[in-house]
Amino acid sequence: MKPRENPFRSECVEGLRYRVSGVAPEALMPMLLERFAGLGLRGALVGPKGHGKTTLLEAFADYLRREGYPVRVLYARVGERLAPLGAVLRGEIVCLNGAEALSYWGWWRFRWAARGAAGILVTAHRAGLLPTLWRCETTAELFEELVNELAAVRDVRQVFERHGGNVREAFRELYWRCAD
Amino acid sequence: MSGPRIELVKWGLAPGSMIQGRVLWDRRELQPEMVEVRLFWHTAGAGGKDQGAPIQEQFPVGAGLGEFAFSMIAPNGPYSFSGKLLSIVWTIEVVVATQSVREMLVIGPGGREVVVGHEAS
Repeated sequence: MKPRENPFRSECVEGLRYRVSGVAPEALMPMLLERFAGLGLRGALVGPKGHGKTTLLEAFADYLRREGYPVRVLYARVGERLAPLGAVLRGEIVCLNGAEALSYWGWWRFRWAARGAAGILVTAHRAGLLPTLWRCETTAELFEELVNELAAVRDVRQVFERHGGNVREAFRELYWRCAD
Repeated sequence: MSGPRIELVKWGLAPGSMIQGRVLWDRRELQPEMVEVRLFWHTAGAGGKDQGAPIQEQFPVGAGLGEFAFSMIAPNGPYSFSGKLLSIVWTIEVVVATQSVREMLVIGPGGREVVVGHEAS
């Protein structure tokens, strides 16, 4: 199958909406905002690699924008210095994806630069940088539900188990399975 | 009719050749003053999506019409391509007032996609 026809190409996978078992999709973002406000607009989305932190951060940032907050999303990468934050707008919420990629000093440079922000939201592999707003978890049932939105595939749960719950890698395996 | 529709004379084009087509819409629903035609490539596949800057042209449309014929030159590259890791896909998008329609087309040698690692189709 050609990449443009592959049901697990990145644009299809990235188009899947973040979801949580037992929470109605339309209720998730308002619930997160309420929790975020309760934490003084300082919080972290915590979870291992491939557990949906980035997806949730981007979805939440979009929701905040629709709610009228000015939002800026930054992406930290291992070995790269974070782009200078510049002037932080009054009332702005700064979202940082991949806080664990920053060095100790990099993290504190970021905190200093964002000191004027109304809110700070980060993703991190471990708790502790900021109060945990949400712990991202995956289950075989959830993965199966996501896969079924894109294509009918066998042995989905085994794929999920093989990647230890890392949904990104599990989707990658399904991509290559269709590509071959 | 549910939204505008594109019809092209040929959906597979050699680089530098003329893309000729028309866009049709329901004139009871849409009364455009202009039609905008955009042509752009993007990648699709396992990795992140990349997209080229669109080539775009605007054409004035006479009042009360329900279709418009357009033409533009197919760019020299990149060629429509599919390997294992990614495809390069050319898309034509036509904007008619508040609605738009997108279709895939092929731009490559002999009007065919360059295919590597798959059986030719």
